[in-house]
This record gives sequence, C-alpha cells and structure tokens, in this order.
Amino acid sequence: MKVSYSLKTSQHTTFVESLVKHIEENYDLETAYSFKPLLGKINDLRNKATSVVLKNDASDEELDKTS
Amino acid sequence: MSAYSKYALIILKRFNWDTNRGRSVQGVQITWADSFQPNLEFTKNSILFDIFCCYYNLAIIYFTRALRLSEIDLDTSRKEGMTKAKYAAFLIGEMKDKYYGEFTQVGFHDTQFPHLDMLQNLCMGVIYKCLFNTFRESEYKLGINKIAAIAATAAKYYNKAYNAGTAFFQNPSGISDKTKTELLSLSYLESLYFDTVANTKYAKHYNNLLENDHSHIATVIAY
Repeated sequence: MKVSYSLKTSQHTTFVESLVKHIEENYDLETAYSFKPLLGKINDLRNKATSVVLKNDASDEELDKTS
Repeated sequence: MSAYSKYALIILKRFNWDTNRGRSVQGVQITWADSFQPNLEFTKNSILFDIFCCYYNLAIIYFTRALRLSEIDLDTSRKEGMTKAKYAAFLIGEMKDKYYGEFTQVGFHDTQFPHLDMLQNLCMGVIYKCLFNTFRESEYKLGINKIAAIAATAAKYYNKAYNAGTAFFQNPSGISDKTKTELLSLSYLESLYFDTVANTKYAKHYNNLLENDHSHIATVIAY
C-alpha cells in the first residue's frame, strides 16, 4: 500500500554570524573566527537539507539520498 | 538530512540557547512551514526547531521506504524495511518524549501529537508485519502460538494507528483527502488482516493442544 506524504520545508537562514559572536563573547576573537569556516559548511548543509521537496513518485534511490 | 541533524545536535549541546541561563545565542531566525499547509510558517530562535522538523522529515522518508520494502517478498527487503521503520519510530519517539513540549505553541498540524502517535504506531505495525512475513513459514519450528503473537502485535499497532488517525482527522488539518484515505485504509485493512491471521493461528494452536489435553476445549470454542 502507498502513502503520499510531503515534507516540511524551511527558508534559508544564516546562523554563522550569531554563533561566531557567541563564541567571541565567551572565549576570544581568534577562537571564534577559527570556527567560522566549519560553521559555514554546516550552515550550507542545513540550507540544502531543509529545502528538499519529496515527490510522490520519488524513487528509492532519491529517498535514500535525501535521508 | 541525517548528517545535518547530527551537527545540529552538537550545536544544540555546545551552545547556550536558554535565555534564562546566562549569555545565550541571539539573532538566529529559523523558519519552518507546515507540510499540510505550506503557508503556515513559524519562526524560532533555536536550533532545536531544526532538529524537531528534520526528525519529522527523516521519519517520513524512513516510513515511506519501510512501507515500500515491506511489500517486497524478500527476506533482505523485510530486514531493511524493519530497520527503516525502527529509525522512523525512534525519531518520532524522540519528538514526542523529548522535544514536543517546546513546540506546543507552533500551530503546525503535521507535528501534532495524535498525528505523530499515528505515524509511530504505523511504523511499529510495519516492523511486526515484516517480522510476521519472515517467520510465517516457520510455524512448526518456532511454534504457531509465537507466530500468532507476532500477528496479534501487528494488529494491535495498526489498530492503535487507526484510532489515533480517526481522532486526528476529525479536526481540520489541511492534509489532503488522498493521504488521509491512504492512511486510514492502510491502518484499517492491515489491522483487520492481522487480527484474522492471529485468531486463525491461535485456533490452530489450541486445536493442536486439544489432541493431548481436553482442558483447552473452552478456548478452542472461543476461537
């Protein structure tokens, strides 16, 4: 039996500056900026992962890739 | 999506998001939409919102895959189906038990408790369905009563899903009629099927016992 569900979607967001600022307030500027590239990558991954649209006829491969 | 969820969990633990507990992260605007009503949006200043919504999406993907795999007549597919359904049930369990309290004011229909409850019970039903189909031919090796117990458990979860779904769909949620019908038919028909199978197997089990011990006659008549 088949069930047709759609996924929740999210608008793109940028949390890098807020997190870097938080680290800066709690540690120091140098530590904060060393985290910036990594947080940027996580932010990009977030925006990619949260904007996925699930089609009703999505193949098994597409579903596995999305998860 | 699972990769991002792992990073989001780390960010949640490593940063202070609680405004009542000293300096917290400020200025993060995370906006998600309801999957039944895409125009219904909510914004929150917490990475926990991402985790909650990603868990929902992941659970839907795993549940969809588990349903497909459970229909394939192969042991490897059933095994994979059980694994996917277990993942989905776990994620929904986390949403219900750990995070739900934070999001009661969000106003989304898809993450309402009765809907999550229905999905979790459907996932559990799929797990027992796969288990039943894996061992259905081994009733003489394992014992008919054990196979009957697996079928009865599948029926119980599908029935719980049907009851939760019926209650949830009484209020307008924006879910499409197609999905609503699919969910109710799935839970109702599977619960009916496994209930019948369980009773048939139990009848056979007690009938076999009757050959040696007549004290089970009342149970046999009952089935």
